[in-house]
Formats: sequence, C-alpha cells, structure tokens
Amino acid sequence: MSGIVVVTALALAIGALLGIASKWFPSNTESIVEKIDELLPQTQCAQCGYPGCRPYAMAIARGDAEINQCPPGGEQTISDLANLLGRKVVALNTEFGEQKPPALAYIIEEDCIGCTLCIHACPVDAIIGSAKLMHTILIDHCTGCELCLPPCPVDCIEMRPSALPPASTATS
Amino acid sequence: MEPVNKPFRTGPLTVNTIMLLVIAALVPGTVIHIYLTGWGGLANLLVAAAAAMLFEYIVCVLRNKPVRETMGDHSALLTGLLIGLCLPPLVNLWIPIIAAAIAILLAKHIYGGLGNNIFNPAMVGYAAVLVSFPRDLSLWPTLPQSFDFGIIQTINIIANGGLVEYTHWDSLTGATTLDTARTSTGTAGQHITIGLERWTNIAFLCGGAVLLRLRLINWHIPVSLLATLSLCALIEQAINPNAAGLSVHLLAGATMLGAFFIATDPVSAAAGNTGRLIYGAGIGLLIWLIRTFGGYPDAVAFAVLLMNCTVPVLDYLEPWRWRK
Amino acid sequence: MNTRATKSIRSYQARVDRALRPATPITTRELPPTLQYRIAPGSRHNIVVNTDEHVHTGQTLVAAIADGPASIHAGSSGTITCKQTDSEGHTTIEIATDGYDSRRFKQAIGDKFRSMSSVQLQQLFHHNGLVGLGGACFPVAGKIAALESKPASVLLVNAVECDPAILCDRALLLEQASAAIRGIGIAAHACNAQKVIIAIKNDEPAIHTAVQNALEKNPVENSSICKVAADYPVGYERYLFASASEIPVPENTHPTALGLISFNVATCIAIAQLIDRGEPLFSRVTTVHKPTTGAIQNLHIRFGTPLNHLVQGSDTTLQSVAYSGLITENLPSRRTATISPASNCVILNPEATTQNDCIRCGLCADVCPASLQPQQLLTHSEPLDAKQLARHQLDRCIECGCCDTVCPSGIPLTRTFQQAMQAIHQQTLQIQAAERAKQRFAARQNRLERQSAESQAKLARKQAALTQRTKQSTPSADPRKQLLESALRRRSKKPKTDNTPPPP
Repeated sequence: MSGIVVVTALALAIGALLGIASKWFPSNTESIVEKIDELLPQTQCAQCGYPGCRPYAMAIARGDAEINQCPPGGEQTISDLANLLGRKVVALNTEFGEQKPPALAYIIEEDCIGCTLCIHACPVDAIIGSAKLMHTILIDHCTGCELCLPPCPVDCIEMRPSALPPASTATS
Repeated sequence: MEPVNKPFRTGPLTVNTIMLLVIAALVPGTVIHIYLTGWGGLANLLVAAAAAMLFEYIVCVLRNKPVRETMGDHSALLTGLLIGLCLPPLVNLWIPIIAAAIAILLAKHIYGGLGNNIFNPAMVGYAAVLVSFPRDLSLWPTLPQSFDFGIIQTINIIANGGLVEYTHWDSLTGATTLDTARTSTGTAGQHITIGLERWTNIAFLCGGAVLLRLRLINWHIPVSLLATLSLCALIEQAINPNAAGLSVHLLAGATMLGAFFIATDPVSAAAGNTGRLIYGAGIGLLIWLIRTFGGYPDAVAFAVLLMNCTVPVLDYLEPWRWRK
Repeated sequence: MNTRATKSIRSYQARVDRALRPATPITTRELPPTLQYRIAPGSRHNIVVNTDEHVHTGQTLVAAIADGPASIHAGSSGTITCKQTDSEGHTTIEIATDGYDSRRFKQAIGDKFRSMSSVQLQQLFHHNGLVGLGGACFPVAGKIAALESKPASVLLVNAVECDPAILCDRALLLEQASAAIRGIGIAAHACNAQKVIIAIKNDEPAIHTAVQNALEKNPVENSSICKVAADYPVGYERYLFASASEIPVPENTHPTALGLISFNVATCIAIAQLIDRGEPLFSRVTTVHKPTTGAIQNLHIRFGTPLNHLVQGSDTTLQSVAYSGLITENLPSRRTATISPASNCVILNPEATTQNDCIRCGLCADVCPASLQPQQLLTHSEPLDAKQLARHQLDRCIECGCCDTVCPSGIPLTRTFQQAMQAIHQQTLQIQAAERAKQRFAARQNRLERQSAESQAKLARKQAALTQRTKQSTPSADPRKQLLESALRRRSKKPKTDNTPPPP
C-alpha cells in the first residue's frame, strides 16, 4: 500500500516538475533557427527551394524542409544538422543539385552590356555596376551561388575555381 | 612527390629501446623474485611472456600488421613479464596464459594496439584472473620457497591444476605479509614483520631509480604515489599503533613494482605533470584504502585500473598550469 | 630545458661537421633550362611581363606593391611564358633560359646611400625584391616600415643557424664576411639603429675571426659581436633577442613594436649587393643535402630553379623532398618544388622513417621550448578539434621540430601541427566569409523589404489622394459642374419664387 502511495507521489512530483520546467524553459524556436543557420554554408544560393539560408533554416525549424536539401554544404552540413537536431544522417537529395567544387563568379568585362540584371539577382550585393556600364564582382563577397548566371542575357558570367572552399561549418 | 618529415632520424630513443631498457631495469627485482619463488615463479614468467608474445603474433597476423615491427617494440614481452611477476608461484598453468590473453587481446588490441589502450594491459590481465580464480591466486607458498621443488615436480604441480589442488600440503602455504596485516589489524600485541619480499621491493626500487636517472620515466608518478601511500600509512598508524606500518605498505606486496613499472606505463597514465601528480596520488590513496578496508590483500592492480579511468579527465584539465 | 633534443641534435651536428670539415665552399650551379615562378592566388600582384617577351637577368617580373609583397625578378635572361591560373588559381611565370645570363642592372648607388632617407631606402629595397632570407620571406621594407620611422634601438644580425642541417649562412660568413658587414652598415643606416648586435654561435671560432676582421676593416658604428650558445632553437627570433640583446620579447608582441629589428646574414649580403652592384635579389645560397649519396653542398642558386635540376648522378629521380633542414621544415606543395627565397636548406630524397602510434611518453613535452604539450596537440589535431587546440595554445608553437627529434614513435608532429594550423586558418576564413555573406544577405533582405514597403506606402498615399480628390470632386471639383449646379440650384429656387405672388 505504502509502495503505491510513494510511487504515485513520485510520479506526480516528477510530472509537476516537468510541467514547470517546460513552462520555465520553453523551447526557443528563434534560437533553433539561429543554430541551424549557423550550420548552413551561407551561400544564399536558394537551391534548397527557399530564398536563402535563413529562410531554409526557418523551414527546417518548422519541419517543412528536410535537412538534405543543401548542395553547397554537402555531407558535412547534413551530418552537422543531423547532429544538432538528433536526426539520422541521410544522403544529399540530388533533386536540389549536386555538390560542386568551390567557385566564384567572374564577369568577362568586355562582353558585359551593363543590363543590371545580375545586380538584382545577387543575394549578397556582391556585384557592382550601373546601367549601360560594365559590372564587376567583388570576389571577397561572392559566395559562388550561381544565381547571377541565368539572368545574364549575354552569358558573360562564368564560374572560376576559388582557393577557399565554401564556408561549411566545421567549427563545432 | 611527397613531403617527408624528419629527414634525419636522430632521436636516440625508439619505442623498442624504451621497452628494452624498462625490461632491463626489471631484471634485478626479477632475479630476487625467482630466487624467492623458485621454479614456480620462473615458470610463471616464462609462460606469461611466451603466451603474451604468441597472442601478439596472432593479433599481428589477424590485423595485417607488419609482424617484425609490431613485435619489435617488445611491449608484449614486458606485459607478459609484469603478469608473471604478479602471480603467485605454482598456479595452474592456464592462469598466466589466460591473463596474457586478456591483456593482449582485450586490453590492448581491442583498443587499437600499443598507444591506444586506456587500461594497463598487464593489470587488466592480472585483475581478470584475480577475480576469476581467487582461491588459486591467494595461495602463496611460504617464502623463500626457493628451489625446494625440482623442475619435474613444479611442472607436475602447475600442469595438474596448481598448488590449489595440493592443499593437503598445509605446511607449504602461508599468509603473505599483507594477508597477515589485513587479518591482524586491531589485534593488540601482534607485530607484523615483513617477509623476504622486501628484497624484491628494494630491487624494484633500484631498477626504478635507474629508469628515473635515464629519464625514461618521470619522477611525478612514483614520488606522489609513494608519498601519498606513506602519508596514509603514517596517519593510520598514528590513530591505531597496531596497524600495518609504513614499512609494510612500502616494502610488502607489489608496491615498488607498481610505483615504478606499472603506474608509470606512459600509455595509460596521465600525460601532463600536474596530471601525473594527481594520478600517482590517487593510486597511492587507493592502494592504502583497498589494503586497509578492501577484500583483497594487495591493491596495486585495482588502484592502477581505477586511476586509468580518470586519465582522460586529467589530460583534459592539463592546460590548467597556463591559467595564471 | 631541452637537453635531450639538444643532445640528439648535437650528435647530428657532429655527423654534418665530419662531412664538411675540409671546407664548405659555395659553388654555383649552371642555369636550368627553365625557371618557374608561381604566384599565389588571392594576393595582390602586378605582373609586368607578357608571354614571349624577352627579359634580362634581374628584370622585374612582378612589380612590388606598397605594404604588400616585394617585387620578383628574373633569375636569368630568356623568354617568358605566362601560364594562366591552374586549378588552385596560381599563375606561373616561366623563363626559358637562353644561356647567356645577360644582366642589365640599375645604376649602383654605392656610398651615396648615406644621403638617402630611410623611406627612400625602403622603396629601393622593396622594388628590388629584397625579402628576408632566413626562412620567413618577410619583405625587408615592410620590416623596417613596421618601426614606424622611429629609430631601432637594436639591430640584431642573426648569424645563428641553429638548425644543424642549414649551413648556408656559415659558408656566407666565412667567404663573404666583408659584404655581410657592408650590408649590416647599410641596414643600420636604413633603420637608424642605435645599436648593432651580430649574434654568432659560440662554437665557431673561424666565423668569429672572419667577422671580427671584416669589422676592423669596415667598422659599423655601435656594433658588437655577441656569442650565443649553439643550442637549438636559439636562432628563433624571439629567443635570440632574449639571449643576445637581453631584451625579453613578451608573447603576442612583435619585436618591432619594442624597436627591435633583426636581419639574417644572407639578407644583409643581399642589401650590400643591391647598393654596391645594383643587383636585385634573384638568387640565394642554399644548403642541399642528398642523403642517398651523403653529399652536402652549399649551392648558389637562382630562385625558380626546379628541384629536379638539383638531382644528378646516381639518384636521378626526385621522389621526395624536405625543406629547411633537419628540424624546421615547411610543408612543400607538390608543384612548388622550386627554390624560393625561403629555401635555406633542401633535402632531396630523405630517408623514410617508420611511424608508430603515440605511446604518450611525454618526451615531446619535456623538450618543447614553448612549454606546450605536443602529444595533446596531436590527439586534437586528428581529427581536428580547433577548440581544444586553442585551449592547448597551438598558436604558441614555433614549429622548431624539437618534438620530432625525440619522438620514439617517429610521429611527424610538427608537420601535423602545421597542417592543423592551416586547416584552422582555412576554417576561420570560411567562418568569416559565411558571417559576411549572412550579414549582407540580411542587409539586402532588409533593404528589399524596406523598398517594397516604401513603394507600397507611396502607392497607398497616391491612391488615398486620388480617392479623396474624386470624393471632393462630386460637389465642387469641376468649375463647370459647379456653375451648372449653382445654375440648377438657382433654377430650382426660381419657380418657388415664381410661385410666390409678385410683390405688389
């Protein structure tokens, strides 16, 4: 009899504690998004189907997106995300693209007609130029997302290999 | 074209020479040990060493490792010798073989071989047989047994189950010093004398001093181990004058062997100097605790194994000396 | 502190000494068919030659950049081929040597340097490719500029090759002591040195006499010779300042911040050659070891000479190479197998050593001059754990290689640490790039939102204005309508008044 009482009391007490804990320490979606965003390569290439790394992080946090939709991050990012979120490591979903060697965009300046289309496409404002004037790419800011390639009407942008691999998270 | 490091090999020490020097430093203590334990002790050493080398060879073949280089480091030989030195003479032939198998296969190669083992292989082997065959291993013949038994008789005994099968020879076996110390604690008027094993311990102390002189081992572990053990023994004796005294703790059992040859095994010991001091002190304290309150008369193996568990933490904390 | 390392290094030194006892002459090698200069990507470079152009020895290939790298000069006359970037983004300039070695140097300055200012001399050094020849290749001008035109309290001349395998400075001092002293005088003038200390090893009496004789002939103001213990790694700049000038350089402080500057002997000779002969820096003396034949030579070689060219005789193929001697060793990339200003020592086809697992013996920690724990660093280097490496202060490693010489397991510790440092550096760059991209993306997102909000607001305002206008226009907007309405109103009133009987 006393055993039942003790066990019931224990269960109630622990339940109450858990309840209080969940009230006091709510799971913070904001910080989870932040943490996921930290792990993403920040190329802002939108290959995942979201307009940038942070939107993708938000989608993962909401549960709308899988963790294997980031081609630039590749396996490293997938395993880091799996580690963070306690999920299984899965292979990269190649529907979203293949992992490529790091590259930077380069404008062949003599071919550029100054249409400003690429400037609007660049997610990190790494292209400077003005209408009917030659454009150029700030290589320090280029993430190699390739978003400037399709809008170019004269195909004067090409990808060149970069010495630095794309920022993948290897901090942890 | 590959870059090659260390184009000129100049270091005087290799793993191989270190092991051989340690084995050489073991020799004086081993000779006295054999003198005291007779053919039985010698048989233990030979069987354990041979078994350890054999298992090392088998593992090398199984793991596709270059046999000559892996065997050439002589670490298996050292492990076998340490096991042989810990076992009482005239035990069942299979006991040193089992101990060597556990040491080499389980404690060493399962973890990836020399350099990767967490626990001291010899002590794992010894501890395993100590808990598995308590009766066999607590049976020490009265020392000096010397060469009372001839070779043939010794072989007969060990091949037929060891001394434990011959318990009717009561006169042969006797309690070791530490056994006496443990059972006598608190009994007034009983004086504990250290057996002849003190000479073994003194010889191991000398061997250890040579290793220290050659700077093959650091002073931190043996000094802090012996200091802590002495301190505990002195405090105990101050409280209870009949307790086993300082000399018993230092010169009986495997204290010196443990302090200079077992605890200082670099692979399973702490790496930094502060860590080494704590590691040694922990072993000293545990030896005293287990000897005084534990169920086993000698405690070096368990103390070393328990402190092996703490090494990752000690190593992790090592940079503390820079935090000023 | 590191007696064991010292002992093992001394035993090697004895071996080298035996091999070299007769003489250590500097010999010149015939020119190779091609000289190659590889220019790293990312750095700012200004290549001033074109493919198929003919150049003379000493002509500028890559112009110097202020506050950046010094210029690079042709090591021989010949025809240029510029190869565009390879997969790693390097540009290679190749000279097909014509064998004439026709030199065209600028006017020598000679003693006129005394009337030149420090800044003028820095310019001169920078545009003639002068970099430190001790191994770090730091531009000479940059080093002097770091003093920020304050006079240097101590100019330390580093003639202490602590690494026993490097013998080029020793040979230079024995054969060209007067040029070295001349260069020291010029360097002292360039950095307004108040005091000049020439540090030499205490076990080299021949060098001492050579330097002393040269000093007597051509005195340098406020100069003194300081003998330091020959124990490795005393030649490391920070340690040498401590032992030779008795000024300790604290961690995280660059010596120049304390007014201390140091030059290698070979650098001083290069300075003298520039001033007295107008010769830019395009060659150096390198110690070449060939362990397979036991040969040790001090060769005067042009930069850009492929190492293959140095392999001759019985060992015809170059399989492996180690740089910078016994201990200090830089990691060569496969394709950079040419002589560079940093190659003070090249070891061709070195003996391979076996390697075992770490047995945690702690010998490496005993000998580490920086009091690090190399074995802990090793465990955290593979797999790389940047946090732990920072905790164990990998950044304090001076890559002296003492740990390598004592390691009983033959582990290439220094190389592992170099790789770890490179990887960490790469990671830091990546993280910085990611952070930058994140911020710029967020900024752009904000801007787009703001712009769309602004345009929407503008639209809304316009719409509001329009609807208001149409509302108001119903009663009174149109003047003609107004007239019509008022007329109607008047008309509607009129019948009423009409209905009323006319006033009598």
